[in-house]
Amino acid sequence: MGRATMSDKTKDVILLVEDNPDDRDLTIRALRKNRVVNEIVVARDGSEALVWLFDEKRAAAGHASLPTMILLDLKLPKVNGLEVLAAIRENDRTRNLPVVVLTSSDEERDMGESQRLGATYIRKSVDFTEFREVIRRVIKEWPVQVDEVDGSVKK
Amino acid sequence: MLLIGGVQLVALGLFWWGSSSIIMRRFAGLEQEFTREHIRRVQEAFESQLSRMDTTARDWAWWDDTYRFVKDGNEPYKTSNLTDATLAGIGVNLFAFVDVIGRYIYITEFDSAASKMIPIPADDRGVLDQKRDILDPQDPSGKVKGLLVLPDGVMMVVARHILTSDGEGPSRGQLVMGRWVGAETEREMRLLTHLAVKILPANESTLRVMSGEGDLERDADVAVRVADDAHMEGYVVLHDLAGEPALLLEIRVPRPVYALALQTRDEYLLALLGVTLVLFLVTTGVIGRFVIERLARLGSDVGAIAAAGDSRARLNVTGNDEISSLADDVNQMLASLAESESEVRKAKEDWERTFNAVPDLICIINNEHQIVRLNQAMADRLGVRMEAAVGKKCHEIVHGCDALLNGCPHQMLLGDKREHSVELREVRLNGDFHVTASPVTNARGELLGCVHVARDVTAQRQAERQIQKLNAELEDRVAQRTAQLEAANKELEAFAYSISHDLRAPLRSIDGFSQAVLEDASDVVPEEVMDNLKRVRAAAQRMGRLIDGLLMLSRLTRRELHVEKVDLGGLVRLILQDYQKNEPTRDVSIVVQDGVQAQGDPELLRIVLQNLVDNAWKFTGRQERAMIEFGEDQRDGRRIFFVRDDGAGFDMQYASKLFGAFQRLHAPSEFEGTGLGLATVQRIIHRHGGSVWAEAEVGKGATFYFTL
Repeated sequence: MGRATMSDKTKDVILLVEDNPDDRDLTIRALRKNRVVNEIVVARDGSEALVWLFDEKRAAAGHASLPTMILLDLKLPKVNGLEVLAAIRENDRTRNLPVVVLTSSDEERDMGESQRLGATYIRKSVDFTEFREVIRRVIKEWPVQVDEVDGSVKK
Repeated sequence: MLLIGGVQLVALGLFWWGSSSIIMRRFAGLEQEFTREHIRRVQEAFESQLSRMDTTARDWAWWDDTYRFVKDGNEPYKTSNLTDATLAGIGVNLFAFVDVIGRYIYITEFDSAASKMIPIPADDRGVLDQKRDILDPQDPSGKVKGLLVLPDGVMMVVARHILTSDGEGPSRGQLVMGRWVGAETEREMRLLTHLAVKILPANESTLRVMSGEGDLERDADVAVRVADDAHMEGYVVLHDLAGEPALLLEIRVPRPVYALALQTRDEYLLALLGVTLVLFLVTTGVIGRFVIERLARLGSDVGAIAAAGDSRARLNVTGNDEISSLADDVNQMLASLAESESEVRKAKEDWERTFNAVPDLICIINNEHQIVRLNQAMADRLGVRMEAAVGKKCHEIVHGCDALLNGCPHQMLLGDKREHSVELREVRLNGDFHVTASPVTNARGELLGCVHVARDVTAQRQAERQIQKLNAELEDRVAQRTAQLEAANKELEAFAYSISHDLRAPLRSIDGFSQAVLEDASDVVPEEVMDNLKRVRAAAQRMGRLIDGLLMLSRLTRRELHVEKVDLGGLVRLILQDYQKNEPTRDVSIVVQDGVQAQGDPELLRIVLQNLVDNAWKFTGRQERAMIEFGEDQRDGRRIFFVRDDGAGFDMQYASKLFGAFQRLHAPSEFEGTGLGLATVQRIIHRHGGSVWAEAEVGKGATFYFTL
């Protein structure tokens, strides 16, 4: 479990599930560029994400709070993104969590399945400028914390 | 002829019977009248005898001598008058005087045969005493006249009062005269009447005729009957003075009228017979001469023609009457017979030729499974002569077995009189046959046999088996290929998936981190490096578009078509609106035909139009004013759609390279593009079963046509 920023006191965590470190960094960059101030927790594959969400020990240790939003890649080692999404939707506790699928795929199959499971689907564009713009539009829809005053980027 | 004779004879018989009964009945009536007339004459003759005796009696009674004699009984009167000679002269058998008090003062009987008086028998005298009252004519001038039945016979009696010669009284008694009725009386009657008269006593046996039956005609005392063909008989009963039957007179009269009637009838009949005979002879002669002979000749001619079976022969026609017209009719009939015969012969020949020309094996089989007839094809296939096969049992000659074949369609047909078909393999003939047995029935619906048609389907069946085998092989191959194809598709899919993830990820890193450097280090990195980084980004983005184009192209081969009605013109307008919005400074006039619709996958067709319009927009980008047109047309009976521009165009010698992937006719610096647009268009059009082509000229523009 890697953490870009660790702070248990910050309740509103964004869970980013992404195996590619470049994509991880670029996504975080795009979020920060859009002044998102939430703590961002990164899971490097599907199983890590599931453990973070459903592990009992972690829940017993008082870390039972849920993320405010999940950014989910689809092509993941071990447990792929659609499986993670299905698990989230099957659990009563997590059923209503906002999930944004971020993927390279523009396969209709992936797009249809994601939408069926109630996730927002975003294709990761090669053009970073375009990607950042898409992220900007997405976070407007969700209750993420945006630093309105300070334009500085938290790392 | 016999008929005519017979009819004439019957008519004659009826006529004879009718005339006989009518004539004879009439004559019978006449004869009766005659006979009754004779009877009256006999009665009158009888009466006249009585009257004559009465006259004699009156002469004697009204005579002064008798008047005196009755008073004094003087002997001279007796001796001079009452002598045998006198009595014989007056012809009486009883002579008596009665005084006024009723005593017989003189009574004698006279025997005519002996011509002498005899004493009267006592019993006769007794009766005379008893009947005194009857014999008394009450009136002095009166008389008694009639018959009296005495024990010895019947007597005609008369009685008169005895008066003076002047016929004056007073009466001194009565004179009674009597005469026996007998052979003498009969003789006199016959003389008087010229009739055969017989006088019979009236007793039970004689009176029986009066109550006889049959042809007896009678009233109170008279009866008449036919005795025989020559005689009539008549009877009359005569009563005595007391009114009792005393005598029966019988007369026999000849029947001249009857004989005449018979004769008349017979002569008449004879004459009729003669006339009939003559008529018959004349009729038969005439009919025979003019009708029968000719009819017989006609008949024998027709018979001869019929026997010869030659319908071309004709009858000789003579005269101009019904018989010759009959002959004409027969000739006409023969003509039409000949015509229809030749038609029938032709039809038969046609039929036989057809029958033998048919390649199917056909035979006609009777109900005993014997072949009645078969065609050439069947004889040839069985390797027998036609004549040799006729009469053979079909299962023997066809299948070479004694018993019927299992599932024989003819046997089934014999059961239900319906058509049956089977397909069987006959090893002896080395072939498969489709066999049909169709019932043959007569006009009453009785089964006569069947038409047995066997079609050789060996080649067909072999071909079918071959086709089945090939089909199975083909299916195998198709399944194999499909599996291979599916595997390849899966691979391709996985490959494409991998490309979209794995090939694009580094590009994202290149672009993203270049951008990060551009953003984060703009103040420390020299301008030239910044430009280079921008080029890195541009190249990465271009690579991304190429990958996306390739992915789309590969996806098109896998995507299922969802065909529906698509408004192509509407799509073109929407696409061009976007372009105009993005580049509002360009002066492009747009002409889109209204209502251009087609059947196809709306998403794929949108991609087609997007690419074509994109090209048109792109290649008119260097001009101040441009025109882009969309519409439909007809070519070779097919609908064609087109997108036309008046832009850069291209050289037609490169037209064949137009639709290949990554083929570009312009440098990227001149017009940007992936080189995948038209390849994608062609792929989509091909998937719709259509075709796409272009016509262009450098500097004048290009038109892209497609069909669906």
